[in-house]
Amino acid sequence: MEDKNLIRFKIALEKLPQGIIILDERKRIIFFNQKAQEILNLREDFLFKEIEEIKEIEELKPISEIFEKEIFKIFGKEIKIKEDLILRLSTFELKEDQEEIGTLIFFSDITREVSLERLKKEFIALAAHQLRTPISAAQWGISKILEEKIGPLNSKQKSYLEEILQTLQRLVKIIDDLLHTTKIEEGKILEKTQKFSLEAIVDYVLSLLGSEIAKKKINLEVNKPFNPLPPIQMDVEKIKLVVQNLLDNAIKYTRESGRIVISLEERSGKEILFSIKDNGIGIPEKEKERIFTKFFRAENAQKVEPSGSGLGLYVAKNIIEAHGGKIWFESKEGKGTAFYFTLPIII
Amino acid sequence: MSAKILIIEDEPFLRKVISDECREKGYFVEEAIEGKEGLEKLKKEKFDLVLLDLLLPGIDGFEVLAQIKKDPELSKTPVLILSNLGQKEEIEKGLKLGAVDYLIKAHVTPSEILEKIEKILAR
Repeated sequence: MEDKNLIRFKIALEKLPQGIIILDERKRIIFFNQKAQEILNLREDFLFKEIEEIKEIEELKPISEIFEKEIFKIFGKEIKIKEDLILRLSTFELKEDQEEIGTLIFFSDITREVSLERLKKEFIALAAHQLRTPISAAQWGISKILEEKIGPLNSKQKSYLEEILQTLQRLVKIIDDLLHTTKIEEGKILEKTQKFSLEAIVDYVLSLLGSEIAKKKINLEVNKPFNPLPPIQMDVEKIKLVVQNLLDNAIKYTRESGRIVISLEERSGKEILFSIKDNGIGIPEKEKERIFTKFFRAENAQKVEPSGSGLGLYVAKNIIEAHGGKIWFESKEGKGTAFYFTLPIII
Repeated sequence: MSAKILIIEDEPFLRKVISDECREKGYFVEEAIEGKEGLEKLKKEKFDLVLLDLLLPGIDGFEVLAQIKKDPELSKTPVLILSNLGQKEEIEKGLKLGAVDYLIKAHVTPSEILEKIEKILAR
């Protein structure tokens, strides 16, 4: 019975879709499975050879270097074997009663994934640049016409051109969101953090979007505590983006002459709570779960604003969580929405 | 005497809009389409400011900037980068190489660029 189980283990290892190599305590290869053989061109005669001999084999060089050093410390490491072969590799120490009896090495071939990922990033960065250039040309030309540097405009021409310019600015915002999303997916969210005041960020974003608020005749209330809030360790550009995305949404999804209330408060010396409440269209119950999902846009939001990217809240959530904060919302369809986020105060 | 500006930009319409804007403000403008052409013009006559795009045919804007900063005759000429590359790495690289500022085309209007140019020239 025991023999039969041993055979079962052996077959299971043999057929695993990952490459497996087992070393003994002297770092000699005592087993490799089919996948390992396939990926690394291993041969039967490599078995039981001393490490010194293995090192001499050209195709095993990168692997034998791993055998030699830091062999127990590897988890999910990307290792380039040659130009067209990249592995994700982990190792695991085999112990019996504290005694080291060998090492398990397992890996998979991720060459294709790595090159696809690189292509995707290059494509997005290039597309962003290539898209921005013709948009800039249109933006610049229209701004000059709008400033009446080329000739006088009547009010209808002016308002049409203003609409076109705003549409182009929205397009630029979508491209920017897309770039931020790629950064987030590369794991590069926080680039440079410094101590900075969240109040100053709110003031900055309000100055940026003030004209939109005025244009929609929105009644804005900003509540800040009497004493200045402690500064927060943050990536300033990223937090600006979060506040801008939230205020942008509040303005977009609130009707003319609506109301927006922004509040900042310190909570038990541990964190700062930011909130932004509007009495706009709200988020439909059935769509609440997906609101932070990439590219998702609520049905009623699409009606009000057909050209959003569905990335603003996804980006915001990732940024806030990377700072160790939390982001959430309360909403009732047709009544309004309140978004909240916290950022920890680190002394 | 009015200030002299060199615009190195390969996109014809963008080049035209920004040159017109500069000329309207009374600046003397010279244009270059490629990095190499820009450097040649810089070596021939003195400019008060260079407006530099980054993605250019032939040698790119970063290389142009590096060469300007390496040349003792030119290194004091302020270089304002005006590009649609806008990743943090690129901005940092441009500033580190010695550009006075970095503007992203899609984020500014021609008047805002001119305001920036005036400020730099006033220094």
